[in-house]
Amino acid sequence: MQLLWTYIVSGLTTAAIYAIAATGLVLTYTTTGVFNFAHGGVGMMAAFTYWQMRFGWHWPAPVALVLVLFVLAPLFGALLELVMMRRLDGTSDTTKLVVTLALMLATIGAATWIWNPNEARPIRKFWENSVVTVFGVRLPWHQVIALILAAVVAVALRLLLTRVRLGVAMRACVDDRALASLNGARQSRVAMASWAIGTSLAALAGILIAPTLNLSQLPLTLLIINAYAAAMIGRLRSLPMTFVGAIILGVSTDLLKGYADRISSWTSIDSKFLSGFYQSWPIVVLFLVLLLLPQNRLRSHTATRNREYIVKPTWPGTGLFVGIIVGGAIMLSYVLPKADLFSLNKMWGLGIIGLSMIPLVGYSGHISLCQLSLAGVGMVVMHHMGAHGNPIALVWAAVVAGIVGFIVALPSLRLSGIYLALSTAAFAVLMDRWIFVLPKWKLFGYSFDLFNGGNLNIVKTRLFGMRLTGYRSFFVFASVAFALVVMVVVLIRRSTYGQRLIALKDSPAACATLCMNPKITRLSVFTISAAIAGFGGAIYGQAMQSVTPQSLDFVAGLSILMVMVIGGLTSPGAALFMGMFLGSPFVANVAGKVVPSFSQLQTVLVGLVGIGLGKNPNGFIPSDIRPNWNIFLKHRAALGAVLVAFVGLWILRRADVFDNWVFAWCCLGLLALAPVVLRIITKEPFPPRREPGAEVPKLSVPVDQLGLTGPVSDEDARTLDQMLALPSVSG
Amino acid sequence: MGDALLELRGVRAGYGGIEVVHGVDLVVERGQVFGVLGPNGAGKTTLMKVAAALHPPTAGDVIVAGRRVNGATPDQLARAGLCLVPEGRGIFPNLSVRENLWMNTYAGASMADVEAAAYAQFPRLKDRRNQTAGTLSGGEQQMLALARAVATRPAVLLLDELSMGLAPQLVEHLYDAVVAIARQGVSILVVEQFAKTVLGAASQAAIMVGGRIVKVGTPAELEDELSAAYLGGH
Amino acid sequence: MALLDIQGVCVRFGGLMAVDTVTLSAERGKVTGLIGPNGAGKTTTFNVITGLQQPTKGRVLIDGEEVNHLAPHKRARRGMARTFQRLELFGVLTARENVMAAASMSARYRDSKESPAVVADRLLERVGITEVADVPAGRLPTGQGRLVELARALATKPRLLLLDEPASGQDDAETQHFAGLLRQLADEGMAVLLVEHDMGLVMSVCDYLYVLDFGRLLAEGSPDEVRHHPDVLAAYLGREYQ
Repeated sequence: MQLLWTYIVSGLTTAAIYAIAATGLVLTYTTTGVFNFAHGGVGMMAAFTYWQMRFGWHWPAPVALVLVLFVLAPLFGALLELVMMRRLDGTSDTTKLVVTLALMLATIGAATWIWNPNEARPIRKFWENSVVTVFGVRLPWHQVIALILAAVVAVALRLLLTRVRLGVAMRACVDDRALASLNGARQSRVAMASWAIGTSLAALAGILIAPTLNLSQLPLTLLIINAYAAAMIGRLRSLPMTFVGAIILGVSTDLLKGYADRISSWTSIDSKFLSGFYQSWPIVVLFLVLLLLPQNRLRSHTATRNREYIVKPTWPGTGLFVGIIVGGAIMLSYVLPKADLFSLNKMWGLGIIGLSMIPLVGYSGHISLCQLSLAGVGMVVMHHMGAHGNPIALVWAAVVAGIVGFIVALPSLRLSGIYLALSTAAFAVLMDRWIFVLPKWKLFGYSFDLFNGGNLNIVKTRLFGMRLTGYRSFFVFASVAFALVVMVVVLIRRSTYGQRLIALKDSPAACATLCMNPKITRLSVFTISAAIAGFGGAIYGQAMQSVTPQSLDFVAGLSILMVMVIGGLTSPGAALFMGMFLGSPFVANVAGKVVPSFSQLQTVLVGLVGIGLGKNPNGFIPSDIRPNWNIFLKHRAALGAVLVAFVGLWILRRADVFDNWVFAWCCLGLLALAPVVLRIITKEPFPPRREPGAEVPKLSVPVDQLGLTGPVSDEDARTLDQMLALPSVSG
Repeated sequence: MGDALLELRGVRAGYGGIEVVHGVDLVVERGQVFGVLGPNGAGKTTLMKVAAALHPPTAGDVIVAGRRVNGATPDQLARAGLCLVPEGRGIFPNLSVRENLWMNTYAGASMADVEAAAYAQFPRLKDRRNQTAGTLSGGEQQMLALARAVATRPAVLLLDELSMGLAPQLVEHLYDAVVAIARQGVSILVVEQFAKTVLGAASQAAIMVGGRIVKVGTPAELEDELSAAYLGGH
Repeated sequence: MALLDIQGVCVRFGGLMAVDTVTLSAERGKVTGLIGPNGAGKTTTFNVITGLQQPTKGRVLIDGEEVNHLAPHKRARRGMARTFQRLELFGVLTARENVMAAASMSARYRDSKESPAVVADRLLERVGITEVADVPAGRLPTGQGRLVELARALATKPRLLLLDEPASGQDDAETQHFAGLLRQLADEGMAVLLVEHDMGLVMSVCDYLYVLDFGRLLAEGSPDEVRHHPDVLAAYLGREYQ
């Protein structure tokens, strides 16, 4: 009984921290409509900043606390609102989600860059060795403080939201933002205040939670993400229910950990199989809560104007693209040194994983954060079935990953937007924290050892009797695999199935009234995309040769998604770009000369570019590169000339006229200049930077200056209608 | 005409190339309730949005208190004393009545003044001041929305479909309040789909069909036209 | 027997009865009108019929068979199609692709050997928007968007067509053409249920009218009967007309 009490009380203190984090999340979500995925990252940054001041520079704790909680964090939150979140008004849920995911990536990258993760950073608890006894339970002061602070936060928020006009205005904005501004409340100020408060709460949670584990970027971020489950129990609306959720979450987590031994003996499952499960318990709760959310009605259009478009590739264009990929791969394989080729091998597998996102995220608009985990499934299959280079293992990798994808999709079918993203994220975290690190086990007489004790060896495939172990042969083989999947993706886009996917993204309600069963279609696209990811994983694994669960973690998957988004989630070219950016040594080599710790900076950069996405949700390949090169489809002769020029360069390189650097720069120069030169020769106009109708729904001037500098344009008026959520006049 | 607080001259407006208001002129005198009637789709709400600067006219002028205000912004007009009660319920359903009224203080009045003015006009609200607005009846919600117009003392009040979804007795009561507001010297432009709701309160009315004002006159003068305007034929 | 019957349907949103015990039917070969002011519950009634909204009470029957338990797509497979008051186009797809997508979604449920592309071209011509076939639907003006939705609905070969304010956003000539098209569809045996505010169109094209007010059925009858119905006059024009 005493033991039970101890776990409950310690669970309550965990709950207190979760509650603080979750209320911040709920507050910003309700008042501004943005679910801040980066909440965990921001809290983690704050904890590091606090450590730097308190233990790095030895400032007194009160000074550091006041600075972080009441100055830096609110400022950062207000700044976020000012430069990022404000621009997201009127964009799709997907864009909002991707931008905050990018922010999370950027905070993790920046923290890793600033604070070397290999250094130990002890962070002491408050009044470390003092203990107080409550109801016979000895409670460290640190925990008492957490409990008190949670209560203070609850009371303070209650007072703010009911007794202060700004707080009432926050709630008013939740109800009806347009009306709030008709009343004269300045929405920007309200949003800024809520971001500032939300960020401070994330910071407080980060500082309180940091001493319970070593100060380390990723675990700390994920620990705060655990609190999202509490926010979900509050349905992202109710603060009291969020506190209840935090208590359920905190107490159950500590009870599970406390009674781990008894559970093991009771279920006769060795605790080493369950430790990963206990670790991920909050994520399991998050998953369950998401599944129990009440059924949404079929979504119909939101007021936002569609500014996203999906290019429809032609077969000749695709043939050219595929030809250049394979041809280029063959040419490259002859000029690159072995070592470079070895590290470059990864780009094709990564590229295929990127391609798997195109039908799922790009066409049908379902954000999935678990594609890399599904690729991991493919790797596991490849390891076990392809041990002797059996090429059929590639097929099995796709099939098994497809089945896993199907099973994951089944319960998530009715989720969309942030809920779907969270449930797939939960699956990804569950895989890399629990399933992939499971030790060997036996079931029905069969022995399972998924990750081979933490390190998978993947043997290269044997094809037509040859083993693709040579660097060159594997490089070309992988490029062919990539090219084939490109064709599959193009086939999907050009088929009526692809049309149906896009239709489903635009209006599920309309699809249902046109005989489509939305659930079956979603299930099918999840399965197909998972199969592609599994196949990609099999190729990626062969390139890496040995894989650890860490290389499949949630954040790595996030980077892939983010670079895909930057390139353009509907474009196979983006997958190639992503593969080269994340999988090739060149970028790191080039930039590494300028910035020494480039690998962290890379994450930061990806995050930063992703943040800018609110401006152009289509990605740069469909909106900038493609229109630029379209002209070559009209002038075949010019295209031939460019191709001949490439081959010429390659022959010169083979003859050792110049080295690889010159070759690379010449190729890049040719790529950049050819469309420009052709346009000048043929006197064709340059394409507009964006297609008409794809304009950002944004006022041309800030709203309070509208009409002062010139007459209000039609476009501005329509945008204003949208922003004020005024019904469009029917006829 | 010197005492017209709101005047529209030759207003045309549309959406994406389709014109829905084809040249409308109307004048609302100080203290007058002016009703614009017409079936749905006649362009009434667009006209309202043009008057409140929420939608730009493609031609014509909007004149508030003798000043041409084309190109002004909604909040500038709001500060200049123009108050729009939009279609639907203009309240915050999850805030209490008192908190709803509190939001009205952004326009400058003190909370005590706002409360006093609102409760004087609608005593029922006083009894329910701590009740969540969303749980009020439809009529009480509309009273709360109107309270903003009472409390902020505008010069021009625009009411869009005040009666929508309300029982007739309630509508009558609301329009009594509207007439009382007008008596304080406010110019009120009311847009209604249903003739019955506004004819009793308006001193002047216009029938709008297909983006044009087809007839202006006193309510009694309009009776003959109404049936044809709404239900077609004769 | 009427193709569509709804019996005593109620929909409650919180404290508001959006639809209050409405009973109506739509017959083959007839255009049935559903009129009433904004907020009278017309679109909600449509949502109940198509299954996007579950009624609090009441039954929806097709061919005399209750379909309350059927999901929207299953009802569509029984020959129900609709357009939307607030356009629900597939914005990034072209007008032609919109219709093709609908044709391929419904291909298994209608007896037709035509390929989706052929269906699309035929229907775009029929509604008269062939010239914008390759424009992304999201960039079309509202009037043409409504015609794309109509063509899309027709691609499923419906027996019952529900049109929610199809004429708003169309000019007079387009409305004229549209009225002709509606009559044709009805003459081919389709049951058409029309929600519309353009009374000229409603009165000229409908065979039978239902009038909704505050979610309740106020009157029904032929256009002429409805036009002179005292309750309708009172609701629209004021108490003194009683």
